[in-house]
Amino acid sequence: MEHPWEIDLTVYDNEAALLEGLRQRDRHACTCVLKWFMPRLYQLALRMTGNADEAEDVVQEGFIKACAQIDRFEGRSGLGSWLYRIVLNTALMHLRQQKASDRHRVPPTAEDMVPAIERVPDGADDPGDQLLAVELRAQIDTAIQALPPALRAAFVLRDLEGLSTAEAALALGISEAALKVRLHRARLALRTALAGYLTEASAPGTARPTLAQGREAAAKGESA
Amino acid sequence: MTTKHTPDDEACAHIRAVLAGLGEEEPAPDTIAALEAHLTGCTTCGEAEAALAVVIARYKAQVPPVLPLRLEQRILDQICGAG
Repeated sequence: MEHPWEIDLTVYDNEAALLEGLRQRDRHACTCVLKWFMPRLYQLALRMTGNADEAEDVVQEGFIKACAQIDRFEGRSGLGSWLYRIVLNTALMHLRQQKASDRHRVPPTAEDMVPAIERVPDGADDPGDQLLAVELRAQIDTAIQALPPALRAAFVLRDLEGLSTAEAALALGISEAALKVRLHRARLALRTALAGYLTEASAPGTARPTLAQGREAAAKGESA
Repeated sequence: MTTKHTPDDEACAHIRAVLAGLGEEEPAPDTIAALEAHLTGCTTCGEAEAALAVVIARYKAQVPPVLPLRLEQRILDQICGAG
């Protein structure tokens, strides 16, 4: 059996050749697509779902859809952009179905993402700084996943994925004005959830709150 | 022109209340206009968002997720058949 990591990735040196390989369901072509595009698509799915297992399902479903629809790809955007939209739509559909069918679901915690994300502190040597960095990331993960899906999608696309307002609005099928409002709502919710950490982050040199103070402030819902 | 408010300023508090009270539907145009007018002109709200942006920038700088090898294999088997 041939393992994916043994495949020569230089076989397809341009997108047209790769597309033809995909149409033929050629294993080398599919592997090249996965190698090239899956890291970003998996990260998108992980940010949208907040859960490593669900992110895997979303990416798998998205790739299968893309291959089934490959003849519809017109090349107006790059293959990567096309795949990105398919995985994004798959993630949104996943969130909508989850919202409709699972009201008793316990919201995912930061621990759900731990196996998939290597949490490297910001180059801090001090163990206390490292602990704060890890804790902060966990708090941000939890705060993002607590956002309603519509707000989360706006925040993930605009502030994490770096799409422009126009691109994010187009991807979500809403107006740019609506996107901006959702983004402000998401940011407000995050500011409230992370209030205990924002002072330290935004004012270097000021006294840093302890983890306990951060938790306490976040629990009180102090505004930033 | 920007306006400096204190964090508890009535205008900022009102805007936060409006934002928090919005539903899933797209807000009315006059609501959007009022929100944009405040948020683009208010330095207090701008500074608060900037503080969040600093934290989010650190968060984004984390190492990208490690892809599980089994996922790639699973997708390949689904698309191309078990190899």
